[in-house]
Amino acid sequence: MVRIKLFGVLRLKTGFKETETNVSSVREACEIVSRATGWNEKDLKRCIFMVNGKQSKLSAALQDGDELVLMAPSGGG
Amino acid sequence: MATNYGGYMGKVMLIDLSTGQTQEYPWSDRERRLFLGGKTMAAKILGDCLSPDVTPLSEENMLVITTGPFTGSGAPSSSRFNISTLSPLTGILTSSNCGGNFGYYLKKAGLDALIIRGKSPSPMWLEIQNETFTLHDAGDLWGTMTGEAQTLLDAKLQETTGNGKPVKNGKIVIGPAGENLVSYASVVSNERLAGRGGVGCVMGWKNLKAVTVSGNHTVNVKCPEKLSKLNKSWFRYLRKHPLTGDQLPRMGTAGLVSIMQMRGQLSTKNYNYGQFDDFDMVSGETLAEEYNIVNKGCLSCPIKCARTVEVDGKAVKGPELETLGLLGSGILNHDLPAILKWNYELDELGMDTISAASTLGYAMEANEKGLWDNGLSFGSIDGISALWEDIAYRRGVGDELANGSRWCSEKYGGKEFANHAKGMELAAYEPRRSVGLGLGYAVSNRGGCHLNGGYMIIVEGLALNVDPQTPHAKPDFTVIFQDLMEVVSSCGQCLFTTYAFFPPPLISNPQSWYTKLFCAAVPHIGGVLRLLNKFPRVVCFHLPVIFNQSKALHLVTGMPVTFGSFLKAGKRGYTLERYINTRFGITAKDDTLPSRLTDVPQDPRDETTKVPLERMKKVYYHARGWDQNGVPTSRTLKKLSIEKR
Repeated sequence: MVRIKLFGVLRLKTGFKETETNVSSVREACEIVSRATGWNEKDLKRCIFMVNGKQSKLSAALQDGDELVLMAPSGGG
Repeated sequence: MATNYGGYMGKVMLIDLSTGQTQEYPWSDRERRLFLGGKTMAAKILGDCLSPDVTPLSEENMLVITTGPFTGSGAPSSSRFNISTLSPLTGILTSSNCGGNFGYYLKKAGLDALIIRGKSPSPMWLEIQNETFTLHDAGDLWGTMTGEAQTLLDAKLQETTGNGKPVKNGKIVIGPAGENLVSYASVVSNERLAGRGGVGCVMGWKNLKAVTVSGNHTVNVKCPEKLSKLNKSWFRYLRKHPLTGDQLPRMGTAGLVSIMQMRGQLSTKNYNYGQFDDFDMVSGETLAEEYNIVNKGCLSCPIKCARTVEVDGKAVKGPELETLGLLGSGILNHDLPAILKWNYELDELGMDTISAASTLGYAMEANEKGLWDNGLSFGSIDGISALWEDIAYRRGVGDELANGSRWCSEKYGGKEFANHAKGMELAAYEPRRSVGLGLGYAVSNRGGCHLNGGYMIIVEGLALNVDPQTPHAKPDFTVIFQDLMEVVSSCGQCLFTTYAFFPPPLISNPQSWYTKLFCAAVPHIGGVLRLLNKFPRVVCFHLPVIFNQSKALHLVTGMPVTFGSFLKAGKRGYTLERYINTRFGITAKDDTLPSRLTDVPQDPRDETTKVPLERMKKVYYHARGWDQNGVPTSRTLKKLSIEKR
């Protein structure tokens, strides 16, 4: 199982916080989140991906126990 | 002195509280052209008037309250004003910027700036109406919280000046923290704060509880039609930009907590670590989902970054990122309602949440390490509300905490984890995962300030993903960012408008080839940036769409301005502030960080996770035209038209 979490404006816009599911790549995870939220898949595939705390690519593979975070860039403090 | 430029009221007034006398302060059009307004104008005035033997809490020290040419012009996010003085926290020049409406009403009263010196023999408040100054007894206001003081002032103005009708006015007040000389006391205007550097302490020392301003002057701009057209497209651009039109309006600065966590940039347990397990309990997302009532903004601001939350059944201003970070992860606290309450209490008492929280973090670690038996422990939040009052009224441990982390560490030890630069506490960003910001904290003119430091973290992980550990090109970028922020602030505009400098596609599509290329290229363009820093005027045009400020300055004032000369004005301001600080003893040895951040890697397995400060400082000084001791050279001063003293 892979834990998928959303942060930033993505989370507020979709109302989707997190889920656990069986996926094998970041791309597949984006598709699942898109289906669950109705959010544009293209937009999801453009955001920042962090796998187990490290920045990743859309093509990155996921393994059982991984944590994937999807978030948009931020700024201003 | 009247002015030929638009955007200015043409009058700067000085009041001496010792005598109650007022006089016009001479300020020429040449000075307007060179020093614009805001913090740069204030630095020029303070530099001209203060000798190096003046101390912060003395009659000679002055509070210089300035607006900029944009204030009241209709330009976006331009209602800001600035307060500069010699800081009781740092002993050097400080500038504290504030939103709200005071700046707008200061101009309505016919003034570009107000200078306050001397000391009133008893507590007073100052009323300015259409250039008429009246000092009132503040005996009944002294001791009130900042909210109550403002309500009482409105009632007083209605009763006297308004003949029973409410008077539209701007006001600044101090709370008990300022009255009792807490070194980081703030000045409050509506719900906004000139928070940093202890400007409220200086006001309290001068026995000045409040200033109200009102009037019916109008700000005339040089090219109203062209400016109106520019403003329309500028507002539209800011509303569409992913940072100023989406993230900031939705979550405010609080939205940064989670991305800082992901990047290891969230100061945790007094900067021991960069990540906090319970970060989501104090994140901007949770704040927005469970506690935010409504978004609010300053006058003429399309960004509306402020949150309104409920505390004890009352709608009050919500916390910023700094407060969430330093009072959340910083002290290992995951109780968000407690932070909302503390934020409100600190504002009501009138003290800077950053310095208060960071000093608390230091005190907790000092206690943990057995250096100072003060009863404060990480993760233990019982009694914190009472502690804020103890600080504000200088009681018990609070009396010592009221002096800031530098003072406490000099007394109890633990300088390596007293997280300040030049005496001012750092913000919530952990610089070992953003080394450019680390440089900025260290060299910043007012001390450990992320904004005055250039805010490199925006490209080192927040909005863009430039390698946060490489020192390459960071000093040159820092100079440019500092200069741009300096000049935008001097115009009277909010710094958040500068984030729109990054074209939207670059921000909204981090996976794109062009964003990746830009981020990869940044560390290799230091040489180009150095040339721009050396010869800013080669950019003899405006940057359309992404950076409207230079064109707006031209349209507001009528001054001949290009992006290059605009940047040079920022350079002038930054170097002037530095030059004044060097007269108060600041040199390269003061541009430091606590050794934890420069010597101890955040990740013990990765030596790059610390700030290579000395290496970057050398490049930075060179890029600035300062000598190796961090002092601006005669040539640099001359080039920037700064008079040597």
